[in-house]
Amino acid sequence: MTPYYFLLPAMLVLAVIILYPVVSNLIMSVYKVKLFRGAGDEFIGMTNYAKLLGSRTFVNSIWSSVRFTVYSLPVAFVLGLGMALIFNEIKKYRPVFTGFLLVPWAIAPVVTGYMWRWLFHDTFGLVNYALLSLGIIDANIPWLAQPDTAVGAVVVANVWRFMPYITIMLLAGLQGVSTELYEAAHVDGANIFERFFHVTLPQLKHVIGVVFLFATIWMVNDFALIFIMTEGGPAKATQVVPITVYRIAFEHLRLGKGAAAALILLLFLLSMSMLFIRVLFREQRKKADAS
Amino acid sequence: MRVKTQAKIRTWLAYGLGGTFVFALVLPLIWVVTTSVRPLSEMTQTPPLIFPRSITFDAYVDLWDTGPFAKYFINSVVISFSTALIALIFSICAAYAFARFRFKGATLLLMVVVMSQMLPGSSILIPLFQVIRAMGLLDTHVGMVLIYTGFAIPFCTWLLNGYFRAIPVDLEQAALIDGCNRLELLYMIILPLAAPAIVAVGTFAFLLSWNEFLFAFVFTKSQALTIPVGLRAAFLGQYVNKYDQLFAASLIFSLPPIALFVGLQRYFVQGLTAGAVKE
Repeated sequence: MTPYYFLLPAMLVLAVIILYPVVSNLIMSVYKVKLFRGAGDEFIGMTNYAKLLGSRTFVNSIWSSVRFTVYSLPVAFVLGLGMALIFNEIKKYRPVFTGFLLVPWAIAPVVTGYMWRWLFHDTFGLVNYALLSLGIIDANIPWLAQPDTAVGAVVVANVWRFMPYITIMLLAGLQGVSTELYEAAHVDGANIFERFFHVTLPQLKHVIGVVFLFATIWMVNDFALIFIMTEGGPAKATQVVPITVYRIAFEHLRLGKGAAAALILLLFLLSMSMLFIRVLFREQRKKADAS
Repeated sequence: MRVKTQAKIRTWLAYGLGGTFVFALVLPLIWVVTTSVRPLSEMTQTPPLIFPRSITFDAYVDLWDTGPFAKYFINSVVISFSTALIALIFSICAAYAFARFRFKGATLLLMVVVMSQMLPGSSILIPLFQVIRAMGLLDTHVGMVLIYTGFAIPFCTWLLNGYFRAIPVDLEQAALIDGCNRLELLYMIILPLAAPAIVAVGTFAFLLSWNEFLFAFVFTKSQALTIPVGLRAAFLGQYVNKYDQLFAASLIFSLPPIALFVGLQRYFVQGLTAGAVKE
């Protein structure tokens, strides 16, 4: 009996906060649910889903999410990898460098949001000032007030936040890269690029997979950073799916429709995780078979 | 000789580039720090002054009494510490059960724990709102602590479970024979040995609730409002934006996470990369 007593408090909380809501969300998504229940909810089958997929707002928000993630990820990855390779050469005082590196990752997304909003401020912002002084632009750009530049601004903020995570992970991965192979390649006359692409990169495959999986999940789920910077605007250009879920449920008070949107997001993330895990495990199995 | 010089150049290059990178990374933060110590008149000047002409710490003093920030600060402290404490107690017990007992449903329950760790918050936002409302806990400290505890438990339990398993059972068996009960065992033998993991897990739970925005934004109105949500209400008005105070408050608010991350860097990096990097 004892183990169950030990488990009880944690499982009770999980049941109320996680399990019940997951099931409830599934059920809500096929009902018409009003925020303030009157006569009870009405079963409407797949209507919520049909409405969502036919709604411009929702489909646009999927594209916003895709844009946000697809622009941020490669930039953050390339910069993060570059930084990891440089930091790998730093032996003495490395903790000092990585300590600074952790700061963007440590502070709350909300603070990052306000910070970049201020940096991108049209009249008092540092970004406009720097670009003006360098002669790159002739007049202040209202970054957060135009759709295209607003997307660029949130991507920049997002890259700033995630690059450190990618660097830390890849740096840890680099510690495991076998030096023997590296030296062998050196002796064979491989140049620095060949060594990087044929020795280093293949051995980092596993870490890179994990980094892409987690970074994608986190980016697609982001609410705070974008909401603080643009509230999803202008013209819904940065209204990603989580913000749409929030708006449908708590501004338009359509809880069932919101639940359906949330479920679509969940299913997308789940299938992506499965795909990644399968690919990663297949690699591992291949390696196990080979050895 | 040539190789040695080459290596030296390479190292210097690495320090130079690494330093530049790090500087570029913290530059936005430096800008925010200088914003928080300049008078409002200097802040809203075009073109902006790179170096403030006069430095004032007024914002750091005023932010406590001009707005409701002090209240939000206390809310954040109360909610985050309570979450860390409760999540820690519950997860330690659960992890101990998983690590030391064989029982029906263990695998299933552990799977539930692992799966809920990956669950995106927005996918349970709406039903959770109804749960919390039905319990009459909207805009209360208890409600927020309950939610954050639920979010923290999966990761905490998972990490502690792994750590407990690595502790040899022999010690406990000796104590059991001496007549200790399971709780005493946990308290006197396991906890001291697992101290690093407990610190890491407590930090995780604390930071999770300290930095969280979405749920605080939707589930609180005034009584249980925390700093992430309260910054706007406290400093950004319809007529005046007190940027100096906003950023002074943001920096104060960011100090605990930065101190914890940098201070516990070693554990943190270990935890983050565990499993992702193969030995």
